[in-house]
Amino acid sequence: MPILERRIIGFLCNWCSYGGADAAGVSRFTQPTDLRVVRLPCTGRMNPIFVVKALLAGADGVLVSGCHPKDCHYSEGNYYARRRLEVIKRFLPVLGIEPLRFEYTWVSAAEAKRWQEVVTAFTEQIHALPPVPRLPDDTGIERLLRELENSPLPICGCHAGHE
Amino acid sequence: MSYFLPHDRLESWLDDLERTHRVFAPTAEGRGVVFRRRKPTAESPAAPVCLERRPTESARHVLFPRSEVLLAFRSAHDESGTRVEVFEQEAPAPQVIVGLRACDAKGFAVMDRVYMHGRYADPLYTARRKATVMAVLACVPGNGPDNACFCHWFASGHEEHDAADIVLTPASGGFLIAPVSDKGAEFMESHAGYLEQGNEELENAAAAQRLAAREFLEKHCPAPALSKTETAIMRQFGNSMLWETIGEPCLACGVCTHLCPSCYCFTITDETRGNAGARIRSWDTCLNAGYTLEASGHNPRAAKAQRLKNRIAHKFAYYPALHMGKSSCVGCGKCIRSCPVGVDIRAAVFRVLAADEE
Amino acid sequence: MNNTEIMKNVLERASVLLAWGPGHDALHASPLFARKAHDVDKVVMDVRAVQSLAAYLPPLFQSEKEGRIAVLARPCHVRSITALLQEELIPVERLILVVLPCQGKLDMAKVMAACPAAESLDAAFVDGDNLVINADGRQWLLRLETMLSPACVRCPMPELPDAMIPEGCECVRLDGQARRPGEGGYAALDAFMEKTPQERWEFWKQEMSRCIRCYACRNACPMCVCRDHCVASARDPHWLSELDSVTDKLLFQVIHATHLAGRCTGCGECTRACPMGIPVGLLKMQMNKIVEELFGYKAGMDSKATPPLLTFEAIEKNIREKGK
Repeated sequence: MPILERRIIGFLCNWCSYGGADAAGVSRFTQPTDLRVVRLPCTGRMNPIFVVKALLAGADGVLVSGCHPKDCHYSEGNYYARRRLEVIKRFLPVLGIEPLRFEYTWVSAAEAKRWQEVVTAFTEQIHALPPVPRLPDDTGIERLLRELENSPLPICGCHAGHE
Repeated sequence: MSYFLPHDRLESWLDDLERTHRVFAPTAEGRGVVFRRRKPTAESPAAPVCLERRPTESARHVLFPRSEVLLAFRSAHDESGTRVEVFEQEAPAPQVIVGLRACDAKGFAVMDRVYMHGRYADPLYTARRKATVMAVLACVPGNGPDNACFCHWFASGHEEHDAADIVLTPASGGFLIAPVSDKGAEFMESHAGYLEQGNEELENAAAAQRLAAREFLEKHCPAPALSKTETAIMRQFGNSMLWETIGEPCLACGVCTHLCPSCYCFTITDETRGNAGARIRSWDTCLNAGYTLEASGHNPRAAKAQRLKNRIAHKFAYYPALHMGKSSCVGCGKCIRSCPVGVDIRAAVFRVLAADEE
Repeated sequence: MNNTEIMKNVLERASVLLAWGPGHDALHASPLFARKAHDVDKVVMDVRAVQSLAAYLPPLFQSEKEGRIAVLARPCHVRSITALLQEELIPVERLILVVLPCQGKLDMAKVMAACPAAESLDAAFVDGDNLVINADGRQWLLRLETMLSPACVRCPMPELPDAMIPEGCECVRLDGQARRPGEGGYAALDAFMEKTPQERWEFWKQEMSRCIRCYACRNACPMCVCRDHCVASARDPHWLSELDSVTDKLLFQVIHATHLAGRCTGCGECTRACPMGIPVGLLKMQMNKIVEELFGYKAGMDSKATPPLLTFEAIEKNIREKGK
């Protein structure tokens, strides 16, 4: 069975890209549905480890989007983020992870059209890659939970956190 | 009754054991020699066994995994409502550890006293222990004792066989194999197909080799009066200057405890994802600050010197006090060999003894 | 004054001299905390003295009973100490640097491979260009050049330039002959990057499956200053599973490397400390190379410089701007 959808995690700044994505939705711009959004207070909150953790946990791609340089709500957050994110992007190849799996960009709250373009282009980029390689975790909780999920009783394992 | 296994038949003998047992054997990987499950298949043979070098790690994780799921749980719902389902581990399959050294096997004897007796016997360890045959490789000159070894302090090994079922001694182009327990004798009877009969000459040669290894140790590292260490450590327990000096170079990492054949401390963690989760038991180390961290935030062993003191005192004082004077250190030397800053547990014991004599 | 006299003289002004002393046998040395003049007589500072003593400094400076602290350092160790000074983790006025010209540090794995009998040796010493080992009633001569750690082979700075003495720091130099400088650069990393991404992934999968999570790599690292508060041991947030998972072991290495971005001085302690021989230093080397390419920066070269990940430029020279 072909994989129709990939798992892409988007980390979006509350003050710009999150609004831009919202505006794109309100404007009924067609977008791929692969992206799952995590809202950040600022891209300065973006720990580079979020990117690697997501990729190692099975995400096929990670997209970070924040305010254009000079437009940060907190003046400087995206400047720090730019250095950290550029570093982590260049770091991925040593692990054998394709750097195209990760992008960061800037989209303001007013750029609904640009958001549509960014997310469409990134999703296409991820679809052009094979699914992310997985490490064999014989005792991993992922595998354990997969086995539990495959047993006949239905469980809801899709949300992390409390239910 | 003894057997002889020529070198060139070692791999096929091990593959043959797979018929009835899961086989764990040392394998060279990178710079280390680690115990791995042999999984020969029709397509790919098992990685070659490495018996020429001392293993970097102990075989402890075969019976007491670094991390294991004690139970898994999930909430499930159907028409009758919601309930919690719990999944427990299945009974272990028969297994054999080949090529562990006598000190490693003695580590299991140390753990047996803790996990297999009394009201708090550990069912998972006990089940695995009973399902396991220990095939010990005897140390001989050139393949065994080095400058970090001190098993003769505890009589770990050369002629005594705590926890061992079978002993393999390198001798004239192969191994002399001798069962040393009923379990071992039974195991050998059903796996002697690849083997030749041993003879007295081989047995004598093997015994001489083992003796030579022991003599090397006695010459290199004379044993202290161990009967005095228990009281000396307890008397010096409050001598914080002494322990600070001993602990000064320690980095408080966990190399020593993680490689040790007889460290058996664990921690329990529940990890959940959505409506399902697992209760995990994983190795803990007393060198870690979190080991004694209390819920209040207070840590009775905040300093690394106190933590190293615990490790030494546990091996040489608390454990012997509970178990008929038997030390829980087996003298394998792994902690000395692999410590990044060369902390030597023997030197620490000598220091405590010297301080106590003053 | 000879070196021993110099060190004794330094110890008169300091409460402790961090040095190396005898280890468990003649091939090994172990950190020595010299507090009395006669301790200095035990100091070992040839190729056997492999540990970086910089990792001891931040906690030791916090101790109230210490006065000034003197530390023996090879040039690579000075870089780590400078990096600690840059982050104001140690006080420059209480520090005395005792710098030795570097002959390199032994790679014990190389020694053991060249001379397996060394593990039960009777004596070992340095004689000119050779490491002499007496074992098993025989003598081995191993050429020092071939026995050094990879970090030493490529080290371009076996002698500390005066310009690199941290500003305001008392620095005493010991006598001795340094080895010839290496080429520097990232040859080992470049060779690794010749592999395909798939091969690199498989490499880490295989190597990390051997990891026993002792965290020696972390605790031996002079720049890992979180000590007892490492995210790897935290239960909340619970970044790393307690399951024996290759993913999480690798993730920890990435955490270590990212925490060292712009801070790692490439001393090689992480790789040396690993009991399982996992080359975890490669990841930090990649990080150092990126930081050098992007920001033209090497950690621990200038005690007044700001590490690049702690600052920014409004217009970055080497980062291509997005979305314009």
